Amino acid sequence: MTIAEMTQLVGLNADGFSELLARRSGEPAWMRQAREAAWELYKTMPMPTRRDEEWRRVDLRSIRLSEIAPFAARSSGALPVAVKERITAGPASAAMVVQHNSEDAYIEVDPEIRRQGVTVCGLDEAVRLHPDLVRKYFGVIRPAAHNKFTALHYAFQSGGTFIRVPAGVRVDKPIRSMVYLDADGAGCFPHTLILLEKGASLNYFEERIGLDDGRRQNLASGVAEIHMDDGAQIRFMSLQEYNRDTFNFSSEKTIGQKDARVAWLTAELGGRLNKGFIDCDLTGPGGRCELLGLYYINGRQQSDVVTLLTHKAPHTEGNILFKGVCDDAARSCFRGRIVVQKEASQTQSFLADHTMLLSDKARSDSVPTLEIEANDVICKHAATVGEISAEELFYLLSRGIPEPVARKMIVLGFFEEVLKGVPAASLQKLVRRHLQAKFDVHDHDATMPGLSESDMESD
Amino acid sequence: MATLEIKDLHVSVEGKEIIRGLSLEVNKGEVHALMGPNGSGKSTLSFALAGHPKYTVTRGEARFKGGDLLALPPDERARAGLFLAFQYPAAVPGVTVGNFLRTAVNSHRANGSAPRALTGKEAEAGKNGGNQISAREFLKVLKENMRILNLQDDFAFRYLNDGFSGGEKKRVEILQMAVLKPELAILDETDSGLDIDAMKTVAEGVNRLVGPEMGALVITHYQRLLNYIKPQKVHVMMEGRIVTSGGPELVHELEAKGYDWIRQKFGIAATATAAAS
Repeated sequence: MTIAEMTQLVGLNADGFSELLARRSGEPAWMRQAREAAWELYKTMPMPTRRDEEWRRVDLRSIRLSEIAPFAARSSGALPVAVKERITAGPASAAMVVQHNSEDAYIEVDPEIRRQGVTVCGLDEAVRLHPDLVRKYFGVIRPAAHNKFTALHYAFQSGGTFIRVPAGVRVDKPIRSMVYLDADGAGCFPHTLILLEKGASLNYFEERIGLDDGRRQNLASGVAEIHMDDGAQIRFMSLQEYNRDTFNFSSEKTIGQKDARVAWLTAELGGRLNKGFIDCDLTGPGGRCELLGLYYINGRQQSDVVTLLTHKAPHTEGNILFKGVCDDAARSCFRGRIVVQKEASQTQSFLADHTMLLSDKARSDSVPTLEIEANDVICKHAATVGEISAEELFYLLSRGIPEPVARKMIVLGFFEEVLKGVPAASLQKLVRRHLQAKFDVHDHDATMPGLSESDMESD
Repeated sequence: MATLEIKDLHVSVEGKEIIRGLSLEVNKGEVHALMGPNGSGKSTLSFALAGHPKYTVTRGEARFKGGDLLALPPDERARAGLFLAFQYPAAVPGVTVGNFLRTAVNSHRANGSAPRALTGKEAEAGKNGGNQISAREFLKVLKENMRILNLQDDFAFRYLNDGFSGGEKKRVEILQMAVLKPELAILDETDSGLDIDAMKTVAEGVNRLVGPEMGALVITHYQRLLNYIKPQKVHVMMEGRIVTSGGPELVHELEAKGYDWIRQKFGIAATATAAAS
């Protein structure tokens, strides 16, 4: 029996956990203890239900945890062709870290950034090579107790990326982190830990990719923790394209100190269900966070994102903008929340989310919340849910553009406001291309189970 | 066979009849002015001819180059060579003028077939349709026409009508007409909201195109645009039909006397409400 077959026999349960601990027997004691504590926590936390406000719009009842392997080995020794293509298709990078299923598969670091003292490696390797740093920062700003699936993450964590940029160093070309999941019926628990010292600057681009011919459920639960010292800057860009059988949970948090600059962009295209928590705390004066997101979902995909931007210091600025498109029977929910604490006077913060529905069966909810405890603050929110504008459509038709093309132009155009925020032109192109590809595939996809012909007219 | 031939056209909007038996013929090479007071149905005619779904033709016919115009969906009407310059063009955020217009040109070239090949990688490579315009070639044509219309180069990369001034919108309408080269253009109140310089620019843009390859139906309720675009025929529209037609001299007569003398001459009440009762 091969390892791959063996791992299919255990699930995300007590047996699976023992199996993982055995596999990870070389880990330091503190790591093992962290896993055990997380596992105990996981067992005591109830599975979220629709009675829990933050989980009200996602359906977790169909997850079969006992059939999902806690670990999946790489399916082959060489990098899959699809991965090589993705590496080439993306922007030139200062470093590239590739994880294939649960294992580190490839790493390449520009010697120049090494000379500057930048550390880039897989998280598992960082546990071996930089145990003091990992021990100090791992699980600190996004602890296991955040929700049941973060607890699951800390119990089963394997893979992910560790980056440390020393004071004053700028990494302009993106450091890329890719997770490629082609195992069927597997769990995937990458952890991203980023440490930016004073005045350090980083461009980071992550891709989460699933091979699209799964039969069995996958579950991904990733965590990202980003520590930013005074004056540090990050441009964080994430593209999620797991396959249609993947339940994807993500939980990301950034803490930015004085004058920290956060430019965040998340693009969700894949997954059967996406439940994301994106938090940013601005803890020092002069901090700024721009948090952008887009999603395009169809079929029976679900997306539910919670963003929380907390202003803890005066003179901080924030902007949250999410744009989503739901087709077929897709459902989305966006919960944007901005908190301006008592100390955070003279703060500006804006929250907006806009959703376009392309079918009668698609649904979307917006739950914006502003909590303002300080005086002298500008804080606003806006939310819309709409359809393709009949006047815009007629205008394009009146110029001879066929209706399917006109619709596509309007839908893709809807995302541009967010896409403009993508830090690099090459990344912008890449995300645009993937949005287009998803639209085009859908044009031909008439085999959506449980949907009638008329549901498909809206593409 | 006239290029555009309208016979006894009746058009309703949300159940209310606006056009009540209109007949008109316009040929390539001709400029016709359609004048009339507000509410006489001029814009309704232009939307009905362009195929806006809100406008229902209840009676009559419109033939374009001998074919049944009304049987075609709006995009096919455009590809057949009909162009409407909108009075209030819609803004389409996120779609640049350049990309939009190039897609329109390629749609005309492909004549509506294989729409998926019109955007994305295949179109970039010029693989499909064979006769798709390349980005480089298109940009050259676009820039040339933008220069004539006093539009800065950056308009190619601005979102269509998004945040444009009234004058910019009108010039971009004429830009589209110049690039798409229709056989018949309907200009719906293209002069509204334009200062005199902008109007001259727009008029020059139109005059450049009118000729053996294109005819125009210029809708306006002021005569001032017609000082720059000279019509051969002038039609006066009231109560949803053409009440009188004449030569260019009619424009000056209207300018001198207003619309009331026509009302009196043809026995039309001063308001539509009065006429309806």
